[in-house]
Amino acid sequence: MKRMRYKHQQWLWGYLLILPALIGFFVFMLYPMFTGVYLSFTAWGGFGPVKWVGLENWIKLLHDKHFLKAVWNTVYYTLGILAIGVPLALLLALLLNQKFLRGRNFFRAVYYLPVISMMVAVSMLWKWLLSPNHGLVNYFLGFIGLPKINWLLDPRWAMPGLILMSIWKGTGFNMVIFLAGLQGIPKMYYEAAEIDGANSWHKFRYVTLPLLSPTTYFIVITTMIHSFQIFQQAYILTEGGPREATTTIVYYIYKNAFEWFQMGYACTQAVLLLVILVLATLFQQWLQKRWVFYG
Amino acid sequence: MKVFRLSVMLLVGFIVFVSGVYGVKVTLMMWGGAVEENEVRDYIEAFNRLYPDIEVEIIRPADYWPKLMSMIAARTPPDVFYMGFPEFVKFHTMGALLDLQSYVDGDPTFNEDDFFPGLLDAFKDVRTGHIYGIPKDWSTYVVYYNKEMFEKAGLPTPNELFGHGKWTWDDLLEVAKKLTKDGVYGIAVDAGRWKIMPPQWGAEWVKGFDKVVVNSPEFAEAIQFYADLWLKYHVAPDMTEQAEMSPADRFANRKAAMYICGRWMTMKFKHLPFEWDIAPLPYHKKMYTWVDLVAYCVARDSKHPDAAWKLVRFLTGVEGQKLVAKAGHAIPARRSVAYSSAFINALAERGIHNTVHLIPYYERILVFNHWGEIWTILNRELEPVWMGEKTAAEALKEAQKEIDSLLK
Repeated sequence: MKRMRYKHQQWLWGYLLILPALIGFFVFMLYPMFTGVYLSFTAWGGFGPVKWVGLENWIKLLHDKHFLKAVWNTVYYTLGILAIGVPLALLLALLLNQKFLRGRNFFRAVYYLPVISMMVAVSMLWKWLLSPNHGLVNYFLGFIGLPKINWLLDPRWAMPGLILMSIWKGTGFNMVIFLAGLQGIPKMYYEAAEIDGANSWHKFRYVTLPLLSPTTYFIVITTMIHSFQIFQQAYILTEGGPREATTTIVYYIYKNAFEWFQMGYACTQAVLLLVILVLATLFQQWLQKRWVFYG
Repeated sequence: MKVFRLSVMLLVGFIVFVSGVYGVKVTLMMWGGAVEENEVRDYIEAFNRLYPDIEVEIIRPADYWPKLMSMIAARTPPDVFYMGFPEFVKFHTMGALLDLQSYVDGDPTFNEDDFFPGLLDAFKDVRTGHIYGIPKDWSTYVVYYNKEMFEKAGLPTPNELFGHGKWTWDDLLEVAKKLTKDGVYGIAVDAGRWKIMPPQWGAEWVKGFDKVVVNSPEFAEAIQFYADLWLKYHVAPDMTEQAEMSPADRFANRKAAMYICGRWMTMKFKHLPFEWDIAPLPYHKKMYTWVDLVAYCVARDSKHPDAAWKLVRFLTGVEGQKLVAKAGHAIPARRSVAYSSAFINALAERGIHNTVHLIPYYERILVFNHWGEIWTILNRELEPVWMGEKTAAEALKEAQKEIDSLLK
């Protein structure tokens, strides 16, 4: 009996202590989430009366070719970041993890600097860097004998331009996490490999990569979720153009909600984005069994 | 002694408390830059000389419409706020705005006829005719021109050409051709401001709230002429150059002899180190200027509607409008002020014409359903035209299809 009361008390105390966080979670996360799901079945302008329309928004969404284009653009962007940005972050981390490199800390700071810079400032900088006639990027391309690219006005190049900027902006963050992962690998594995006659490539392939895989997994998941929500770059740098080439899902949601006053329809898109993200994460989780190695 | 001190403190506290409750505070939400905010501060200062008991707080958010929407949705809207004529339709139908008719009726100094015709109509309920917003000021479109460049080239200025009845778009093109040389363009325009063109060519493209026609030959011709300024005649910066240096900057940096924009640039250009002036837009089939119009609206959920109305009444009254005239970047909404020396002399020190005699060449203000989406469609479909990859006629056929599916 006494024991029961003690247990009961513990239970109460536990909840009491996490209450502030719990309230915050319910009020600011769970409630808006369910409201969003509810609103996806309504016609609502952002304020004023809410009208239930059933599946109308969902049917409209499946036939909305502009939304489809936005999904494709977002996938394109995400793949670009995952295929180029993540390996680049790993490469930088490997380089900056070398003991013989002088001024390591300086370079680490330099590569991290864009991460803490404001996106608005970064976008303005890149608007200039990507400028067709006076931009440094085209100047460099000309230097190595390549033709000029009209980055932000050519529908084929606008998204690569955006990816380029986002990699510059975000790689430092992943680099730092990779660095932490690299430093967590015990030296003895390398020593053992050396005794077995492994060269640098062997050590990277059979020691570093497998032992780093939990870090890589974390980075792939967070980068993917982050990339799917890309908005600021498209909003500031290209306004979704040219010809929808950089209209991403979240940018399209913004247009619907705040420029066209279709909050209900925008909620439908947001819910679908959530579903896509959950599915993609579940897929990754299933895939991780094949390549992530918890040592 | 102690008791005395305590009671004094209590009394002071009570007075502060009471005045806090009875002194009314209204919020005014605006967009625009820091310069405009300073102007509005001056208006408020003048307002407070008449109404010292109404405190006005200015809100100038970075993202105007999302901010306004969320404040209205949360039932804590700003009491008074800027409202564009296109957005008005949506905010009114969603019931966010206060019916101002009873206030207007109760105000003997209001004088509806003093407003330029059509301006108040843009903020009326279509069925009841009740007023939901009072125009604050408005802008026509004009041609800015570099006087010195015209002088050096020995050419008559746009104002002179207009005076001689020789200011058609073809005349402008001829002048622009002569002025285009040595890295200087004859004229700079923003592709995005194509809206000034179609009615000039006689395209009556807004036929009603639910009927927008853009695939007419007149509309296409007007758009094509605009694009050809840089595609065919090379007298204006092309899209790449427009992106690299804004047409306004190009004019300000003496890299273009003329520039087409709304009147609001006058205040920004005031300090340019060369002589410039403004002239009316050229004409084709007829004279026409697009109008940008902004009103003050009061939130239906305002907690101090009476104080809010006092503020709106002052700002849109003769006294308030005189301050608008003095600020000079837009045309006062009241005729008695716009045609007075207060406005005509706003830029006298630079010898700038205010071309007030041309004000009447605006037209019924264009409003239609799905405004935001249709502008997005048009701008998207016209992009290949500006790049020279499609003709205007082809692009507009596509745009019409999308518009029709939206307005069906």
